[in-house]
Amino acid sequence: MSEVRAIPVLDPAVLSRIANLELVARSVVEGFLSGLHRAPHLGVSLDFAEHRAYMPGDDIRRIDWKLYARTDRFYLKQFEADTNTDVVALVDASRSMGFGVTGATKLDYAKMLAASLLFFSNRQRDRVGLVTFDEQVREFVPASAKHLQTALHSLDRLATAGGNGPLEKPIATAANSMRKKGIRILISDFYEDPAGVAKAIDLLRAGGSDVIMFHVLDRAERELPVDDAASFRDLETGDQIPVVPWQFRERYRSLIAAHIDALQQIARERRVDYTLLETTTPLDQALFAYLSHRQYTLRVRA
Amino acid sequence: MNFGLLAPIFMAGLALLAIPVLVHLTHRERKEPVEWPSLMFLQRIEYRAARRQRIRHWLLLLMRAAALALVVMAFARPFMRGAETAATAAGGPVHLVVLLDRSHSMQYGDRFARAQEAARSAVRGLSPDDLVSVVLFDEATAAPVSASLDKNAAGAAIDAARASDRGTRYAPAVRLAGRLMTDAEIRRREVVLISDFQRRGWSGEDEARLPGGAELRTVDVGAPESPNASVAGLEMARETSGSVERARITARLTSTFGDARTVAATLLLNGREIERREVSLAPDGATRVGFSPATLPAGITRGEVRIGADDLTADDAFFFTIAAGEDLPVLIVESDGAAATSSLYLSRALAIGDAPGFRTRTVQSGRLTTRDLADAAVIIFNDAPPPRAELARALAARVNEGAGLLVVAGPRAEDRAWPAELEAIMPAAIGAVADRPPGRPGAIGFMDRSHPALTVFRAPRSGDFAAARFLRYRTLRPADGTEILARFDDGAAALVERRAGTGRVLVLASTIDGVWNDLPVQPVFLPLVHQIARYAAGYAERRRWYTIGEVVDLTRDPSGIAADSARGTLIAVSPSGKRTHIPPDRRPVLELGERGFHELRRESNGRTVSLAANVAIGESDLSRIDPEELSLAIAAPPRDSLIVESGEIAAAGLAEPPPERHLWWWLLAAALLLFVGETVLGNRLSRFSGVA
Repeated sequence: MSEVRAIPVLDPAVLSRIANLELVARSVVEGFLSGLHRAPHLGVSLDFAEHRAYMPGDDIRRIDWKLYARTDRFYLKQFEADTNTDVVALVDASRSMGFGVTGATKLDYAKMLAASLLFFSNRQRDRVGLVTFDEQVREFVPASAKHLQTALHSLDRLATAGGNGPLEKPIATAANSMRKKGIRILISDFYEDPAGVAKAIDLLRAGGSDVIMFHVLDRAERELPVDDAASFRDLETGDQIPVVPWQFRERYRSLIAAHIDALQQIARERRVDYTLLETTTPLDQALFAYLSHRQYTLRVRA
Repeated sequence: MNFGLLAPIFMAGLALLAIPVLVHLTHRERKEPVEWPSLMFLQRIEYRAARRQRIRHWLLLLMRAAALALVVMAFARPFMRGAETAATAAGGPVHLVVLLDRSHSMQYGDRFARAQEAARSAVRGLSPDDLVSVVLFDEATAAPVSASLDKNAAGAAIDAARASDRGTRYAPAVRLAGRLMTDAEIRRREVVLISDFQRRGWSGEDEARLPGGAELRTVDVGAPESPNASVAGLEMARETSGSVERARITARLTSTFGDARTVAATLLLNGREIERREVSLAPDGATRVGFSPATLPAGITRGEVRIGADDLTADDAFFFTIAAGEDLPVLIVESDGAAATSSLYLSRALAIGDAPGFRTRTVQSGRLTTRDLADAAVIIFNDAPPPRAELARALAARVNEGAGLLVVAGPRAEDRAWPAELEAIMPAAIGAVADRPPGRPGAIGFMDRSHPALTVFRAPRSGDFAAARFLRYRTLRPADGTEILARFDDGAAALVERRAGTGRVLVLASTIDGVWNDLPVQPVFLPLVHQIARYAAGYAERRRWYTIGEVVDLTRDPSGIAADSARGTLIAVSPSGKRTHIPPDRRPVLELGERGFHELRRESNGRTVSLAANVAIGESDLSRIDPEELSLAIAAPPRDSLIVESGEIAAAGLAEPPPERHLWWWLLAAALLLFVGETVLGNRLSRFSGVA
């Protein structure tokens, strides 16, 4: 496996100051790739992967006769697949994603993350698409090798709106629109009951697609660092409740930790990759998680 | 270690610590609601009515409170010193130093007896655990008992003390007391100074002060008025009549009595009363009294002038010694048929001398005998022809034994005529006559004023030789080992000198009759002749009396008793009979501590030499210094009694405090660091607390 080293230029706080989202994505991806010892080139050639012992029923045309001449045993040559796939990013744009204290807002981070992933996938000659949603789908860009600029433009214009609806509804709508299987990248803060999240994941996996969950949170959401007693207002519903932070803090932290655990459990049960990202986390970490997933899912043993 | 505060009032500022506590307790509820992404978790938490005031950010609170406390403590000016001071207030043994004045002035009336009683009283007041030191002082100091628990020894030392004849000096005694107290390391220190407080004993320039913590008490045994009469000094004049030598003694008497009074003044020689005169002393003044000329017996005579006794008897007598035949015998040798004025200037100059006097005798060279030479201490060949061979040998022998020879090279002092017997001792060969051009007389161009023969001209402007004009002189060719004392302005030697045995030979290149030069009429002529004669004779002044406290270098005594070391140990006997033995291998010096006559003799030789010692004149001045003034001058510095401890003034000055270390600067530095740390931490915390 290739190694990754920290690239300072991938700091979200720095990238959020760049208005051109394509430039952000290019910087992230190229910076990330320059950090790899060897850039993987997946699905575009029949590169040799490894040898495997011959099993009855295998195609004898794949036997490596030169190796047989040296070892007097039958081995098959295996190659990496050359199949391209659809990569669709599903970005949550509900009002809760507009929260941000310690760096960029969650939506800004999600936009940069989605742009980077789509840009990266497009470089791998995958077809890229985009779905933005709150309580319903707001924009849908079908997967296509030519839709990168459209997707980036949509992301660029994306702002928070709406909310307070189950995740299942917009995901179901999007899943129905995506008939061809591929990779579904779900980016959200997942303020949803874990069961609802599970249903949404199931919907995305229904067509045989692979799902990657990026759970984006601000550190303040995990820590509840507020000191003063105050009324807290929900960004999505507008509800208010009195909160005494030092009295609530420990309980709150345990609840959100339990929620994260539940989401991870859901992901494990469905063999879905789950990555928790804080808005201060460098984007190369997200790219690395994505790359790992791609290598795992797209390596086809011939 | 011990801590203290110079300004403890500032500690009230610690009440300010309540401010950060209140700040940390005060939680102003935000008026604006905090926008939060979702309340789904907060809504699940059961809300309890809880006390809203609570200390938050304990670390921040502690840093702020500590910084504030450090600032307050810095203003209170804390200091740190060693543990010694803490024990001072607790009492403990006392170290008492008794300074007992035993100077000459304490002999006045019953002062010393009263001083001894005061000292005994001070010692009796001590407890068994207390230490005592006894310091006896006059010009010198002695501590017969130092830091001892034995009060009986202290009492015995006080009883054994006697008033001396020395003067008073307070400063060495104060220093010795300070050293004793410091060495004893006892914190409670007391000093009792028992004296008549004679002003002469303290100079404003004296740097003596008791160590810190020493409590000074004075006991004054003097009196505001101490009238006294004394013999302050003597003047002597000699008269010689034939072989009889007389001395006219004049005494100077002083009186501090407010009224005129008549006293009897007596002259004694060798213990025998010679003359008694009634003298009326002027009130608060000095009076001179002259005695009739007294014939001096052979050898050294011990004399004394005494006046009627008063309350201070020690200065009522003045001791002296006088020796007959102290005049230097000078033989002047002239040429046969010399003019009557050829030695006129010389003989007149020598006739004036008094210290010493010169006894001159003039002979013509043709009548010179070896006996003439034997009687003379200085022989002057004043432009006389060289002696015959027989006389030349005698002259050389006499010079080698210590006599002086001065050759004045005039027209008759021919070079080739000097016999070989004198060649070995002559400093220079006498050459031809040199004439200076008309109108351009010569002068003395160089003079070695550091030479003993010319030392009277050492001081600046003490002799103008440039005024003397030399028209003619002999050229001298100095021999090896000759010292040139003066040169003419053309570089020719004018005065040369050479040692011969224990004697000295000098040659002057011109005459002293006023023909070849005008030196005899110059002011420098008389001191020049006197000094050359004294130097040539090897004369050493004989002191007629010494002052008590002087250290006499006996090698300079003209009696030569110090040089006679082959005769064994030198024994000095003081007027009180105290003997001092000076071995031959030690430098013969003697400190005179008693008034009267000190006798010196060798162990195996019956010859004795007397030295007279008198009280210093100033010691008879009994004017006083105010004891309070002296106390202020020598008492411990007042800062030692201003140590504030635990809000109270500590017992004043019971110990010399170790150096204080002021801590306020360090406290302020620590407070500054804490404020910096508080700022950093506060910013970090507020980054999160400022949500929404």
